[in-house]
Amino acid sequence: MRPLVEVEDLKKYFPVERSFIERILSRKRRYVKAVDGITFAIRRGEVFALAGESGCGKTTTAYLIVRLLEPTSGRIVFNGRDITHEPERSLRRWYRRRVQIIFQDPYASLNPRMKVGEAIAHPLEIHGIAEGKEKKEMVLDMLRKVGLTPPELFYNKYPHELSGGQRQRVAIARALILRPELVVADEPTSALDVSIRSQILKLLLELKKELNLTYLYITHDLATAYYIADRIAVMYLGKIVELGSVEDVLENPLHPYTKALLSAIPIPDPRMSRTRRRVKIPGEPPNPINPPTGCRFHPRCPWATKLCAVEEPELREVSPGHYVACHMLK
Amino acid sequence: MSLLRVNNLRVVFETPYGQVKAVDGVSFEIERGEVVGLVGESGSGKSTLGLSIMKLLPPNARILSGQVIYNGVDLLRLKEDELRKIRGKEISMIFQDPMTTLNPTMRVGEHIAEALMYHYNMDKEEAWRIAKEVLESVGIPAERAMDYPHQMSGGMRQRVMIATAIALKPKLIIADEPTSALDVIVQDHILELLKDLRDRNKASIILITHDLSVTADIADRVLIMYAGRILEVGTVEHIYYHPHHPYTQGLLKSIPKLGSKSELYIIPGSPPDMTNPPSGCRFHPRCPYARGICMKEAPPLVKVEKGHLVACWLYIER
Repeated sequence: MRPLVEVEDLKKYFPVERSFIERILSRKRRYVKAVDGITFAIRRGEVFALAGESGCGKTTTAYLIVRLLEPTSGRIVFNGRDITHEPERSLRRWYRRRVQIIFQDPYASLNPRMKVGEAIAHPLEIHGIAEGKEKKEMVLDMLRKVGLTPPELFYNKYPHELSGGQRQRVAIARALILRPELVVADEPTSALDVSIRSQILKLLLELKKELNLTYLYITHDLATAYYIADRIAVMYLGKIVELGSVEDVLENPLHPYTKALLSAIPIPDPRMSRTRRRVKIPGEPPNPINPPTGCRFHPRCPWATKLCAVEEPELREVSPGHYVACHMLK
Repeated sequence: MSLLRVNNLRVVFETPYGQVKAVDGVSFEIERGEVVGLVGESGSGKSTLGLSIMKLLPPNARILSGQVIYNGVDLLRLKEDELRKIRGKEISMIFQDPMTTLNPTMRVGEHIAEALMYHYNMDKEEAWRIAKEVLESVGIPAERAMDYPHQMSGGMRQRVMIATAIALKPKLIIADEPTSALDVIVQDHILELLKDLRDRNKASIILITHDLSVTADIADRVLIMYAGRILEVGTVEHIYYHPHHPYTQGLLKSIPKLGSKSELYIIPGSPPDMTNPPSGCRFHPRCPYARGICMKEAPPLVKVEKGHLVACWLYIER
């Protein structure tokens, strides 16, 4: 079966603002290569996680797929249809209904002047799907689905009357009211209290089952990715370094960056945390305006050879479904 | 004798919505060279507790009662100029966001040199020399001492914060979410640095965090706070392998772990609204074991084994 989303050699470069003097000297424009040629596919019905540290390009990729940003080059194919450069008017006719996004911070993503019921009903109005009593019924039903009960009570509340977890439930309801096929969740639990995170994760999994959803789950938290996702791609400086099932990538990581990332995540178990072997890497990710030549990870890589500084490694399949971009894995 | 002892501290905030009991009768102590983790969610009072020790509370906060005994002296009774001799030199603080705590108009080395000049009457040259040494000890090359904060990455800025905090070799460091704004690899580097500090300088550290995984790596003892009160205190062994309080147990079971797809435990509800906290045990509305008494009366912190205290009616015979 054809994947729901196919991403091919996708790139997004953001121009860097030049100073007045640089402009006078007509210095060449420089670019932040936020996403620099990534290829992957999201299968229908799966949870696909995109993981990495801040600045790796995971959120930019999410925005490109939702088409909140227009790609610099490459292709995004949804359900067999190329939407890479589809104009906004046409996107609104069909794509925006089928692809929805949940943002990280429910304190920022909800309009403080809109009642919960209005916020969730808003997409129905924009797309002319329902009105009046029918619309309200749909909203109440959605409130029930996301666990905001009794729904009549929450319908008339304002966001400031809700806790962080409840706000995120509203954001989820608003994303799902159009019955999308793909839901992009950008770190949906990071801004929430620890005791609330598992509530939201569980809710997302329940709703996925009930409504036959496909998720693109953006996160920096590999333990959460393991819990919620089927497959994962690990990004570093605009590139995918490793891709595969969460079991393959997170239990048997092959790329040195994935190994380092995994061995640095804190685990809530003192004995394990203090005795495990660590793959240590120095420094922090370099500036994406001038990424290192060859393999972008080579300046920090414990395995790096001369080849790594010159030639960029391809993402190659090393075992069925497990892809790694590293010269050292032949 | 403990390095620091907090006795029955109560701190309130006056807000337009009424009085908030941010810290509501908290007592604990920290020994020399010990790392104590202060774990809680938003509104638990963990940061207020940290700020109270240094008397750095905002103007709308009031300390109602309690003592903070450091080296036999109650810090809460000291005057501002006496406190200034202790802040930075004896006790120092590391905050979550170095971009807001470092002065953007000062070179990073100056932050350290200035403190040395103030506390030790050092001349400028000497102060800068030591500042560079301290920066190098946290992994920042001496030539970067002339940089401004905005020229550095988040991880390096946090290293500068730590360098400023340790330059005067304080005996106690209060670190408030020092790694929460950082990526995991940098977080790991910073935690290593804190461990090194404890070992090399025999410094005591109070690590304030929402993340039980961070304390698992570095703490000797952990205090679990909820709605202004301590619910459980123990060694890491007690807290992680024999948690007694239903809240601690719930928190540990609700964290996703690598290699496990088994269903996560869910603590129902949300942390309480502190302008109107629940009666009795403040966790009772979310507790699976709550019964009559839990709604009426707050349970005292009682010993369940040596060094392990729990505030829960389940462990109190009546």
